[in-house]
Amino acid sequence: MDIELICLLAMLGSFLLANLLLKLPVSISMVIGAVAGALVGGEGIPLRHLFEGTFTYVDTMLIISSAMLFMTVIQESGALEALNATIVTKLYRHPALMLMMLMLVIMFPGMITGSSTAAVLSAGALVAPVLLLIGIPRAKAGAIVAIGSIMGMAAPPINIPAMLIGGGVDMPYIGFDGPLLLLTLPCAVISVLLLGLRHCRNLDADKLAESLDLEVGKKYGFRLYIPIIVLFVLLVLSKAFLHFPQLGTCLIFLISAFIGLFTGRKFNFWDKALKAMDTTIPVLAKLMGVGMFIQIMTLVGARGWIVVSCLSLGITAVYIASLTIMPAFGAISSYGAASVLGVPFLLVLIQAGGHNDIMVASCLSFLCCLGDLMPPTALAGNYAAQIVQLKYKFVLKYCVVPFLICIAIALAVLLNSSFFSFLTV
Amino acid sequence: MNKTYIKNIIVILIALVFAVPASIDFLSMHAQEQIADNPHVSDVRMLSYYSPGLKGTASDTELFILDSGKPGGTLLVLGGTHPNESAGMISAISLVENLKVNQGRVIVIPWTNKSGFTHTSPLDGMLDKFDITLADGCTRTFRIGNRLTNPVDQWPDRSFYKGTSGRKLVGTENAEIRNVNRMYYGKADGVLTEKVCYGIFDLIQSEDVNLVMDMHEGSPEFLYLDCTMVNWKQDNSTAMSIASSMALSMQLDGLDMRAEYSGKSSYGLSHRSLGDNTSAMMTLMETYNPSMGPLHGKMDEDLIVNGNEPNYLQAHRDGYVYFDVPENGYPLIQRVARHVTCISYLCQAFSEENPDKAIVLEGIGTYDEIVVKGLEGLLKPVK
Repeated sequence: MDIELICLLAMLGSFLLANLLLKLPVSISMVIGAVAGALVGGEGIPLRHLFEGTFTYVDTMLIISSAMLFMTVIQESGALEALNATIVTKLYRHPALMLMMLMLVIMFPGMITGSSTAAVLSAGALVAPVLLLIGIPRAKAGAIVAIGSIMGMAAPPINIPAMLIGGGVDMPYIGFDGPLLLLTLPCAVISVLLLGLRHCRNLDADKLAESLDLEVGKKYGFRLYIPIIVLFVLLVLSKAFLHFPQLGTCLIFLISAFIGLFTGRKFNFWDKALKAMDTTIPVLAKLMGVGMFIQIMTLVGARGWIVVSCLSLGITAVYIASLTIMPAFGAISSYGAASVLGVPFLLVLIQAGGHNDIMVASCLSFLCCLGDLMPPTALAGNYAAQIVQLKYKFVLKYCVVPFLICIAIALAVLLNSSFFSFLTV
Repeated sequence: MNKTYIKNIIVILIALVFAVPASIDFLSMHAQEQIADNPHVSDVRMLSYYSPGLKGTASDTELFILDSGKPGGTLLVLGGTHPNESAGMISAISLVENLKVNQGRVIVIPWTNKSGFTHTSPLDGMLDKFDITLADGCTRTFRIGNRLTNPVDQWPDRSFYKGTSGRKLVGTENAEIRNVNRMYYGKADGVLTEKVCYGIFDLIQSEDVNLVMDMHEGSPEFLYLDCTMVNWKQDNSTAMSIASSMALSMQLDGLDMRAEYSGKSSYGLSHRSLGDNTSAMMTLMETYNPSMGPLHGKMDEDLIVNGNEPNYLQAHRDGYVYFDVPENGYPLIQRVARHVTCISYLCQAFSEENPDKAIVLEGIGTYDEIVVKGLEGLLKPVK
């Protein structure tokens, strides 16, 4: 047996042992897996590599942290409640459209942070009560939130797995918006309609009005939405105009959050911010663990071994592996799936010919994102289950069909990537 | 004291126990390689001489001038533009230590992106240093850095930036604002990396440089290996003529080499933007570095120095890598020999076409002589 394979098995074994048997957090389990891999690979405890891997995603972590502060502010100020109330009261006669709009609200934080966890914990937490209110059962509401947050993570403008895959083959993150929308919007729409539509066909306007908080919208009016508008405007301006001051995504979130302190309900920012960071730190820790894990995989040659093994499989096996192993790798990390498997799979598919590179990278990144539904970590699924106060297995049951639909759509786009190449312009 | 505080303090102390030795390890990358004395080096300057904004920064770098004193042309050699492409720096250092210029002048910069030598690329599992034991038993240590400027010296990367060449940096390419070979021709008051580029741009103009060689390496997936890129410019067709002559001479001597034009949209790259904006003939050469790319196996000194990578050989056999990966690896000495002799051939071709600006070199040797000598013979002992 190759030493690289032995290292890989030691890493995965230690990780699973620590996570499943010792019930340690995923992040700590990854540290244990990384250290085990380094020891078996004859590297001792390579502090420099462990630290370097840990800080790989520091920019992403800063963005997620500042995005969480922004979402806390618009949640506590009443902006999201008002948005939900507006969607429901204006659109209850058109349940399909209403569900799609609610799905878009769930997706929004994921779209701008690239994190399904940010979407579940912020917008998901606010939309879930509305979904329950309009008659959707708890388990299905949890599934809608979980799928919606993953679609948000995969949707443009920020799709971190796509960035990681593209970065591995010197492909700039340009031209991905169209392909990612093609993948995520149909999946989001089909999923939410499939899970929710039959439960909210005949809604009673009076009952809805009783349960919704309409006061906050009336009291503060349009100004509630100013932080969201400021966020959009600053994000667009800083990416579209060369001479506009380069504030950076973190500062834009913080500026928008600061404005939100004065546009709605008053609340204790310090307390709420601390709570928001408490829920975010495990996600940040997981990113640090993933970085450390992959760094050691690369150092001991396990990553190269995986890549070469994948390349030797042949095109059919790579198609099958893309649709199965890539999402399954999400049990460790969807970012890890992109970094470890995404690059070689992309190389094989490009090599096979007849594909559009950006379309293929988009499909692979989409499949990686689906990994956030995979137990035991199942970031999106677990947090969504917590929000609707159910065990994850009940939510997972209703995620299966949308998950398979997403896989089918990804396969269809992958096989016809050249046909859709006009979207990459 | 509150139990939570005690727990927090213990956690911080444990973190420090690991962080302190790790920090010392990271800081050791700031120790620059020594260079052995060569009596033919006539002057050593800092790049801030040409780009004053660099003075006192982590990117101000040495340039070694070897002047024959006899009128002729001027060659500029850039090593370490991408500090993870080790053959570039080692070739430049070997030139500084061995070269004698008999006509014209040669200027060598071994650490073009000096800041990039102080960190490695996350997730690549790259070594930070490797050792070469010389014939007399002493050991010389060389760093392997990152292709980008250290973010400690230039951060954050802007969401949208347009370099002086017109290259737009958006999305994930925004990190390229720290890539010397994307930001030419630079800007005197720009970001740190642009100041480096501007220094080289101004050096070429101030010193009337005729010929530039920028030494690079790439992973086997890269299409332009064992290749010299020359500037694409309608009014500068002689650069291709010289590069073609060089490639032909090398092929006749049994060394694979070809010459290609710069991509028309290769904005910001040395061979394109410096060629467009100066009168120098720009060339850039790439060799295959097996430690780069996602397929490499265990990262160790054997891979770095001996260049033996079975994974890429397998990938080549399976048809995924076009480059003809050598069966017995591609050792660093062969890559260095290729760079150094390429410069020699290039100067010969240039001198034949421009006898009034001839650049005549001595002390390099042929490709075979360098390979036989090995790194241990090519590099000189340092005090």
